Amino acid sequence: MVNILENNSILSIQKVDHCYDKQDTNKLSVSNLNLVINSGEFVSIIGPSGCGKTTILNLIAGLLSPISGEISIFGFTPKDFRTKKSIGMVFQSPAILPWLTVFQNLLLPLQINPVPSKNSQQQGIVENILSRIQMEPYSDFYPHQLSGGMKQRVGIGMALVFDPKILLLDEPLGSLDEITRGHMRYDLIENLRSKNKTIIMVTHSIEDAVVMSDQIIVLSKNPATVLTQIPVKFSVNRTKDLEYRTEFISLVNQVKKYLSVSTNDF
Amino acid sequence: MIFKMLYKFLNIIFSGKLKPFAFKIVPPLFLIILILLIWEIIVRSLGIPDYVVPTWQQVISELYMKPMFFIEHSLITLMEAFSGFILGMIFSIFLAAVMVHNNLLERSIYPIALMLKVTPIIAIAPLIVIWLGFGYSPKIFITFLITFFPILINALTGFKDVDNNKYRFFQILNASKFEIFLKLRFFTAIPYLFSAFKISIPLSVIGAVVGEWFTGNSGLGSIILVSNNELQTSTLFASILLLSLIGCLLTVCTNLLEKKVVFWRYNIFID
Repeated sequence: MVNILENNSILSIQKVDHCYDKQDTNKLSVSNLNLVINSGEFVSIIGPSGCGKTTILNLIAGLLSPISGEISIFGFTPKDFRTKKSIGMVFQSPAILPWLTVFQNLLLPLQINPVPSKNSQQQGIVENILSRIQMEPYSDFYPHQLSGGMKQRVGIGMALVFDPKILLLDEPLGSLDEITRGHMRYDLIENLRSKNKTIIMVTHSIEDAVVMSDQIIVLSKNPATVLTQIPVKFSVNRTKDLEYRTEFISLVNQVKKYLSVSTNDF
Repeated sequence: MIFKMLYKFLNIIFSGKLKPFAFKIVPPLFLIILILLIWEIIVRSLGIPDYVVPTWQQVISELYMKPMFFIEHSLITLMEAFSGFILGMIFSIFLAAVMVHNNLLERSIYPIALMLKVTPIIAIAPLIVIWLGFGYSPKIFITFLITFFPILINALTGFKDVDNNKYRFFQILNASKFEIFLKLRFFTAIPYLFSAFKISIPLSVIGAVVGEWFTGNSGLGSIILVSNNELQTSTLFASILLLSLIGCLLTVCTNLLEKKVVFWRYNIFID
């Protein structure tokens, strides 16, 4: 594959179309999508309900294939890149298995892809993740014994086991209450932003997007196409005070305005 | 005096540590006693002969007089029912596992399985006896036939009912179909399997009895047949009681096992 990436960019989406019904290619879910994402960037994708946000994440993860256009990650196709264990994914309802303990859930990716193969090394990785997500005391707990925020932290931990270069977040705070959500925003910033990972997050929450991102991509109604890209120029170390600043409020309103244009377009 | 003692007894068991246990046990126990009383009153007051309906004391004394006879035949029926059920369970789970990975196979097998299910087992039983002889095998096979369909359907539904996010997570990890089956599909299906077992276990007792009717040399089914022909109604009632007890015992064991195995379904979230 020809390397079409720019200097610092790691992900390039060029003229991508996708449709779920292969018989009827007129019903596109994503249309002429163009995106370039740089290394270490935190990008939020926001758009009307059902516009195709999750479809874009699935395309980047190589779980879906475009009918036309090209997606390139570090010069590889998404499917090839996925086999290098370099993509992690966090879901709205965490993909933790209720019949396994927190420790066993974190060990699961290493059992499916046994690298390293030694048990002691695998346990070392899991212990490291446990401390990173601050869940050490709950290592032997089952998911039904955890709160929503704790479960989401385990879900994040499972995505981090192979230290992926790209992390895809599919509405990671969507199932949490407002207070937990407020805490988890900064939890995510601390856990993920500081590790210089490239993060692509799909969200419905404008506040989440503005607090966490370097760039917000507003999508049109279905079929999804990029309506606008808004840079977020706050400092890297973000705290709760940010939410009371006028720049924050004006940025939230700016995104709201674009989103209402996108939604009214229905 | 009796009522005073009864009141005291109920007061003791409905207070303190025994309270949850008492709430489970006492109401059905009282209902059973009430039914026995009504049974006794009707039989005695209407003068019903014991070859039509025996008193419950006659049924109990029948069991008390020939304990080894009833234990031996109960164990035979239990063994046939259990063997047929286990065979049906293994075969259904294996078949569902194959069907969930192959649409064509699912579409091909399902109508045949449905045909087997809707055909009355009592109509096929004589054929099975002709083909498999008079030993245990026709009884076990009839039990297998009657139990396998509910397990097949529930296993298939359970294997398919995988949470989309969990499935995507396994795909992200490049898990093979076999790994997805073993670590995700199978565990997702366990609650569905237990629901099927609760239907199939009482059916397995019916299957064993039907098999015994046609081969008629051992088991509670053959005792029912013989005692019916000889108008030994108390033996017949004792056999029916034992069959009910076997069904109840197997169902209770399944319920207890389900609570142990599917522990995540029986716990309250602290969220």
